[in-house]
Amino acid sequence: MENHCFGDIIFEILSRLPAKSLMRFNCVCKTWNSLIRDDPNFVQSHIARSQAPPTATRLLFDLYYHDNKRDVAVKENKKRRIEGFPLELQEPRHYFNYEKMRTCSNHCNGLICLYNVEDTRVYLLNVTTGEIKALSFSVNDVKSPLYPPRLCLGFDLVMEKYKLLQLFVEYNNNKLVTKMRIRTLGRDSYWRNCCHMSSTVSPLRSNFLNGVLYWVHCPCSRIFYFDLTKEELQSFSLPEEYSHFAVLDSMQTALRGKLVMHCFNTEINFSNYIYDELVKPKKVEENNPPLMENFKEENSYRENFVKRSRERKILFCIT
Amino acid sequence: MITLQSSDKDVFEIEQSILIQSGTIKNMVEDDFTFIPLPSVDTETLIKIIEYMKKHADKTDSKEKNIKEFDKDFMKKTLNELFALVFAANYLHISSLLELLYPSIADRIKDKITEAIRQIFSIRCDFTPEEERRIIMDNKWAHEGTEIEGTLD
Repeated sequence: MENHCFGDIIFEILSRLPAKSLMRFNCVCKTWNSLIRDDPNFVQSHIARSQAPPTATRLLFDLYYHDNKRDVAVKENKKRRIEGFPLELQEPRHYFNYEKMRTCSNHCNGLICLYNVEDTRVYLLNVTTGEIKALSFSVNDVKSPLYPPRLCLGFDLVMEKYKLLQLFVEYNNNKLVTKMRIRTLGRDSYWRNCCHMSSTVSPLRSNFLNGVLYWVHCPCSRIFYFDLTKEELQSFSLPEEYSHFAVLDSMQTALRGKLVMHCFNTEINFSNYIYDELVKPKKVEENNPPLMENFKEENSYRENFVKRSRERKILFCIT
Repeated sequence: MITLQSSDKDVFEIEQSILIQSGTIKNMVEDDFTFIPLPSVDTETLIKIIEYMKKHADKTDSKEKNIKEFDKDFMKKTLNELFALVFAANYLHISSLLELLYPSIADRIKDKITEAIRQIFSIRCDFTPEEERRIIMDNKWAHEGTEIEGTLD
């Protein structure tokens, strides 16, 4: 092996490897270890490559709670086609005891918040590498301590910092109000009060995409969105004909990089809406029979998803 | 016509128009060199490089499918041959060939065990057994899986 330009070549080859290979090769030698773990140029290069098609590697993680009895049935490698994205379920990777640790936020860039029941601290989990870090501050110092805290994790694309949003519900004049406070990780040493909304949304059903957090709010047929850079909360209404019920499809949103929603009208016909830009939905494949079959299969999967969600809190992460 | 000389002292006469795909050669040609010694490229590798550049010299639309097929077959070489090519292409600054080689090599090595990687890259492990064990434990999942193999090619 010749030695000149060796470093450049190694860099180029390693930055094209999938995360699992890199996590295995970080014990090859000290040089490779510090390249993979610590070199900011390398990390940036790898992230850029894994997000840009056609070489995009999208690893969807199915986070569920390991249950000895039910696990045997679920642990199959299934290939699933969703709109041309072949998927393969991987073996379960990281295990957490539900009694002790549970998810308390949405996923963002392959990170998710976990709440430790025993020490009442919030931890950040990197789903790809399994690294877990405790947040240095408390989330429980509010009037009505929540168990676990209702958090939303997002990434401010301009500041290039992660921000944590905490939601808590209060009764104000006999009305339920959701108040928010926000904190920039690695920068703010205190919580800043933020906006509020006159209804409740589930933070676990929030979706992070391109610097914005989204929630669907069905009773008032609106989508709330929070711009992490501007730190503003806004909303827009769902398409009229399908505003009966809507669900944000976490997985398709992650796969396509666009907001994908299943919207239902009162007759439970449904349509998929894909939002290229906010407030300008592109309705997709409504009455197309072969694709409707696809959606029916999708829908039954989604039903399972919802069922499983209730039983076991399933989230999809993209990394 | 430009003359290239490999490390084994074999000479090759190739048209300038083909060789300018190499940034390094292009620079030397612009400085009026017509004889270019390449002490870091052996004959076997140089022949392959020339073959690649000849194929890619004429990039008309009709030949595009042809070129893609050629590229695919061109990558069907042993890992050692691919490494020799990547060093040569790096030295000669042939970016299109590098963009072909990097992902191909990455793909070939991605499922290998660490010991195979060390042998392929001639790397000596400078971790103590204890340190290595610790790192492996932290990333146990990365070392498990049916796709992982230990061949050297």
